[in-house]
Amino acid sequence: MIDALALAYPSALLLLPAAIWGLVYIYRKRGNAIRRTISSALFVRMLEQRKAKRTRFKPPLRFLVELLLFSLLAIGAAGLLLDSQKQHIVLLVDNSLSMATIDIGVVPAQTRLEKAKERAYKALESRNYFTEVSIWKTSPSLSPVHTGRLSVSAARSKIDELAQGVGADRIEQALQRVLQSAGEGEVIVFTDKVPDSTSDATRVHVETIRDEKRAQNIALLGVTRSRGERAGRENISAKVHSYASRVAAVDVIVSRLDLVASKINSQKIRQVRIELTAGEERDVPFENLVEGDSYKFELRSVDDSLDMLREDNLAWVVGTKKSDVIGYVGDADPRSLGLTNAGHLQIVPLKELTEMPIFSVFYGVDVPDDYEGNALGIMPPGRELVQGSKLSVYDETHPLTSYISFPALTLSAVRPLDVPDWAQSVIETTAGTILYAGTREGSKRVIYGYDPLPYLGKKAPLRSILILNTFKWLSEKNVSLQSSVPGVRIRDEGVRMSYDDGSALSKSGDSYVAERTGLVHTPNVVVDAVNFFDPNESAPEQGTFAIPPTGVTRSSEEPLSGAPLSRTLALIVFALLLLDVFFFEVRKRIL
Amino acid sequence: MSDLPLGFSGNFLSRLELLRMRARRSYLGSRQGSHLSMKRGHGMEFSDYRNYMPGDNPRYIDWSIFARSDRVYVKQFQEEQDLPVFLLLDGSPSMHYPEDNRKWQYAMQIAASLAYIGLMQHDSIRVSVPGAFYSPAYTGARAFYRLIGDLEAVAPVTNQDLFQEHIQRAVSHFRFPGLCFFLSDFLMPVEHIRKVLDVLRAKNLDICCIQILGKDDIQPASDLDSAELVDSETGESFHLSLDKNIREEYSYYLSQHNGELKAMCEEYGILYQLAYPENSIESFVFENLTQTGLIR
Repeated sequence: MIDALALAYPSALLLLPAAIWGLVYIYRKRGNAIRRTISSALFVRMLEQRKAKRTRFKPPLRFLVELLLFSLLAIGAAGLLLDSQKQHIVLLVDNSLSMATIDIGVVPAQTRLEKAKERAYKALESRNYFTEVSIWKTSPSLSPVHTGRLSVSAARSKIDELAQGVGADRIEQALQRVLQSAGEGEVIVFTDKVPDSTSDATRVHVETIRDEKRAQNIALLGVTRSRGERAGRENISAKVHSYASRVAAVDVIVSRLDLVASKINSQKIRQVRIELTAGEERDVPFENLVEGDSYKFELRSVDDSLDMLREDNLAWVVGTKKSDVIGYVGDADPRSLGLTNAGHLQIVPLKELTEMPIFSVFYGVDVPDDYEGNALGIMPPGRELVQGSKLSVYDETHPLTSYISFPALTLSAVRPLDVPDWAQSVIETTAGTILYAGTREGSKRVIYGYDPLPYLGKKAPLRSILILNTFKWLSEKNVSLQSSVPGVRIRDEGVRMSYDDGSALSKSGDSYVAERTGLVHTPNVVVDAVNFFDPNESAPEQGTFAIPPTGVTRSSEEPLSGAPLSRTLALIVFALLLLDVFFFEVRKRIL
Repeated sequence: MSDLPLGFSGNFLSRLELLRMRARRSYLGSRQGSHLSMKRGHGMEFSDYRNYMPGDNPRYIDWSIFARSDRVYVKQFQEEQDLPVFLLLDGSPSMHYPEDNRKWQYAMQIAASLAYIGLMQHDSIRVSVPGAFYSPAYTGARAFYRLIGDLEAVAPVTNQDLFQEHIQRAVSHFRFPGLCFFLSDFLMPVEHIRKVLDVLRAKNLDICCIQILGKDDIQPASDLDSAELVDSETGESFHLSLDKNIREEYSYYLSQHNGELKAMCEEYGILYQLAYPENSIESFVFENLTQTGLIR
């Protein structure tokens, strides 16, 4: 029986000798004496010296009871537990790029990763001394952050060292791998995603790190194009979803865009007012629009009572007419770089150009000094690559960094740039400048010292916004180059659906699912990009998911039960305390 | 019988009425009474002769001296006045605790008995509990119940640090010197007692110290082998194993203290009497107190 017992905090037993010594001291000082009030201690004070000659200490019954009480308290403080109560937990911390998000309305402003760390600390606080901890991170690739198993205190420092990554999370796959390596241990996941399912629901606890503030938002989920009944006409359907908790009215406004050279003319052509109940999703059709034109779809709150997030209720439908030309120089295929994701853009090798491009991309090569047009240079040759440099300074007022709040990023490979006199440093890392921009002899130039392409991951808003800002600044346009949002379901029309680059979409049930960013083409249907909106972030029920995860316990549940032995000890100590106080005090009064 | 205060019996009061207070010297009274006063005037007791002065009542001329010496003298007599009696009760916690020692009740009984004797012979009685109560002068038999009521309302005095100051304040209420009974357990350092008695002596009082000792003062916690003894005045506690040696040593210290107190009283011409609350008030008044000569 004794072999099966262990102490969580054995150092607490050191308190026991001190407590016993204190108790004996008090008893020796007090003796077994009964308290008696006398008129004056005038003569008694003179007898004080006699105390040293007292007889040997004979512990009374009360002393023994109190000694037992102290002993049990010390053992309780030492955390008596059974061997079977020793724990092994695995902390899977999602440090993907999405965890760099600072949610709206979160005070104090913290990234999701910082919040995840705090939750991890709290999860460790409730663990006993014998808990063994393993920590995994998801980015840049799923891996343990240490070898072997850690103590609770060592785990805390390892969590503290965990840095923001820039890769995707792939949380389901990560969870499966961690479960396999965790043995019988419990797994706690700190992520802003929801794993679809797990094989062992009782062992997995998901701590959801995301904004719990619910926005009364109406979102434009997607725009579907189809051929119209008349020649030269098309029908466009806007899919609108209500994430408000009440009935909400919005205007769906369609404007036609005239993309002429570097100017945009916008003209409102349609407006429909709709009322949506909480959680309702509706297709709003607009028929007989001129085929191949560019349109802007916009949602506007009727009474301004909604938290309309602009990113969620604005969509661009890019015309199919090839209107803009981008020059390209480099060894890599422009398709693999995601540059061809917008159907209206023409990527033309620089030497084949017949008209002036809106700008040219120089991928892996220097921008020639005598080049007269706007230019985007990516990873120009020169200085050596530097690994693991950390983002230190960026100019938040520059147009290229609009709408961006960078976390403390660590970049895997950068090539520091020498900033010329005519340019301004925009982003700097510990290795040096990695992005500068400026105007040279009337031409705009942006040079990247790291590769922002291809457009990786399901959702990489920081880099994508940066690239969009770059394109916008170089082309002086604010349209084009949007991408389809992952997770958008496209009804199966009986034809094969593919991305613009030719790769196929996967199918789930009766719908195709866009798993990655990119334009989707079908013979008669085109799903155009909307925005980077994630519907889970405006879930109808506060703090819960629109689709509850299956097989995953909720984070609100208690991760582990307490130590039953300590509770038993506490009860015994309480009973002894009652005995000590009442029995002896009452007895003394009676006597 | 049951209406009588402090457990006094009618018989006891009747016997008290037969007693008289006698100071060892004459004092100046404020009213006519039954004690020979320092004041010369019209009385029964011849005091002295002096030369006749115009205006003197010729009734007091000693004609026989005039016949023998041809000089005119008038006879002087001691006036009979009341005797100022001061009852000074120590109201410190040591007199109140332990309660079963009844030291305070006994002190009140003694004070009430003395007051009754004085009031019955038309003396002026003042009662003071330094730090707690300073009475006006009680006169006349009817003041007895008022005096008892005032005494019974006195609470223990908590601040013992100012005992000497309290005594000085009490003495300042004594307009004329007179007879003073100081009732206390005198369980304080002898030097402290000396200072207090000096204050009283400075007022030219005829002092009688009555020391009241309870059973726990004589033998503390007699039923226990060891005890935590708590000083009623300071709250200080002492853990003692009360074996035979300790008790003997305690008795030695007590008798030494009382001896020093007694010697001091003799040195100052102060009368001293020891009282035990275990004894009846009758026996103390009629046996012990009368031995002092102040009560006859």
